[in-house]
Amino acid sequence: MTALRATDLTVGYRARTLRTIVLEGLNLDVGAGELICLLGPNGIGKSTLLRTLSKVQPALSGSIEIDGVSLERLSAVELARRIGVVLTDRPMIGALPAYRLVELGRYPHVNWLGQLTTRDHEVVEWAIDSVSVRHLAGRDTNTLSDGERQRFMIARALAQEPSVLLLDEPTAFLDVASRVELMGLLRQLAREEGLAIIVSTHDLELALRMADTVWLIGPDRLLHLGVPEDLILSGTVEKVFSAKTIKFYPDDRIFRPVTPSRGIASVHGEGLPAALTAAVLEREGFEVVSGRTAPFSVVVTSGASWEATVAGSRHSGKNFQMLAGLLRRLNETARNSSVRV
Amino acid sequence: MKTRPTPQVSPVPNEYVSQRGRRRSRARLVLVALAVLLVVFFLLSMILGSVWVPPDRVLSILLGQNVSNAENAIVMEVRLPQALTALLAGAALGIAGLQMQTLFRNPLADPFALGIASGASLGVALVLLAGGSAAYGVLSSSLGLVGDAVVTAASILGAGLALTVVLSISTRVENPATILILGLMVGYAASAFVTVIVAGADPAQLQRWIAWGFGSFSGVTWQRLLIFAPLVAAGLAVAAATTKQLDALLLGENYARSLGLNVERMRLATMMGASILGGVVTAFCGPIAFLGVAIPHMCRALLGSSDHRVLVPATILLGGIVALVAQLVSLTPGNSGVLPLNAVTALIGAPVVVLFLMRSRRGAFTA
Repeated sequence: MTALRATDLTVGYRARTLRTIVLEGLNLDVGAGELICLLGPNGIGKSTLLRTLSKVQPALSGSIEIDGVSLERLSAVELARRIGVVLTDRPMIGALPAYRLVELGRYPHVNWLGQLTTRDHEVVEWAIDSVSVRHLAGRDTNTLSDGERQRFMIARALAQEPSVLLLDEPTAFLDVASRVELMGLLRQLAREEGLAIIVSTHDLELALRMADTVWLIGPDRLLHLGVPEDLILSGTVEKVFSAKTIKFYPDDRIFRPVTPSRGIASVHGEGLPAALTAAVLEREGFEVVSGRTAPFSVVVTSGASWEATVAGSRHSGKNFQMLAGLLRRLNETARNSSVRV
Repeated sequence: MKTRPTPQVSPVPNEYVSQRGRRRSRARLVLVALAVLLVVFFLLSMILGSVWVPPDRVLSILLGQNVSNAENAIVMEVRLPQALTALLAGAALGIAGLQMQTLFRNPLADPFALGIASGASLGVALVLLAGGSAAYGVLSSSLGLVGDAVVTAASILGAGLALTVVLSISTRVENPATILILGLMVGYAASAFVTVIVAGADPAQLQRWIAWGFGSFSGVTWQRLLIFAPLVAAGLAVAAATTKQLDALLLGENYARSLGLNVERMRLATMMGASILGGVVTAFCGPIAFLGVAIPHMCRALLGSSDHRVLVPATILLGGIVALVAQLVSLTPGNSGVLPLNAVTALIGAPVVVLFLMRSRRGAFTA
């Protein structure tokens, strides 16, 4: 079931006669219950796209439909009943209990006096419970942590009872644990409440893990969309995001900085110790291969006990600190000798 | 002997239901207390003054019985219109300040944020001080002296002019902070003209100008209340009818828009409503500073809430109370004269506001 559909959409800015096209020819289709992550470098037009989808700014051309109704035919209040947004604004509001923030989400549903009915209170309670902040509902808004406040802002959007939720970098100010939790929450909301959720984020690795579909906007201002794994396999993710200094590793679905190579190293061992040994070597600039012998070879046994052979001489140690120390000493020796030459 | 802690199956407390009930009863308590205080000070301002009128006789007079001609005249012709004016003016300034503070998300915003007080001053300065001008000649010959009605009209015209300038430019401005700066600049421009007029004025006429600047609730007669009261009531009604919208604006204009609020229309309605309240009070009572900034902060501290559904009624009540108290205090010198109202409001008000803010630490804009 399609919740939001954009056909031949062009987004950008219009100033008098001048049109600045940011993204064009977009054909987007978001189903109910789908979590979409919008990814792309800063300034590429993620916010512009989200603003256009939520009718904050007009589309330059093309059409947008929500639940089969054209955006242009919806009044502001009708729109607010269909789209909930969480913006990058962080309003500082004092002397307002957090639950009141959620109650404000009922704005498009209540009468002109703003009176909440029993049903409104039920929806607010449901929204607060859906983001698991019931125990914080009485707290003053400005005593909440960033993560907690973001949850209340999401609850406020949920209280609008929308079918589409748009979030502009909701994880930007959050610590790692809160980021993962928040994405997990959005995923759960999409599935359980049948919401179509579109999130813009810079958290690429997390997005590739959690999203049903990713919309990738590359430096070429083209939007690539698909299931994360398809985009990884086709090399699109690597193409869009790899730069001189970082490289995407499809196997682990992570990015690593590109460091000048100090040569090839091989690791012999099993399980986590072997993987961590490889990590230490990579950080120090070695290209790690497994199975075959290399000028630099490390054998890891149980725990972190290791034995290294480099240019015929043998070294050993019993933790990774000692291995890292050896690698740095070798690096210094190499640098000094090259200076003398 | 140790007692084993009993295993507790504690469900997550539903703070939403419990806190909502608690806050609602607190708000109700504050509103009832304010209403009672308002009645008390209203009656006190009938009783106290240069002549003591006993409470029982005040009640009889207010109920329409003629007790004694002298006391009847004092209460009905002097004190009652004065108290009503103070009450309405206090409520108007408080509400206008609240609207401006919420709209501009600025704790220092007041009813005169758009430069209307300076505009009004300019109007009044022109009729009171532009002595040698032809206009003054015409006015003095036809009226004998420049009457209160002319001062009021000049003030309304000046304020209206300033407001028109700011509003017409503001429709082209995106950022609310820019509108505030615009208002400030219009105010400075008007003040500059006033300074020029004052510098060239006849010292004899300056007396009247200075007195106007003190502010006063006593110049409003029954006849003038017939204009003053409906205008204030209309302004207050705008605020009372838009509490929902004001609450949405607490989230900032972007969020308010996403909730379905027509931000541009609301901005215009609020700026006009607040400026009319501020402008009308200035026209009838002179430029009364302080109340507009202070009352909303005191109410937020009292209620511990920025919720306009309770903040608007509380501001109307407390605004009335503070204005009545200020009026009473300004009369204390008795027969030797009166204290300037503006001095009183600031002198008793400023320490009170500081106290409130220090004790509550829960102002609307404190992070």
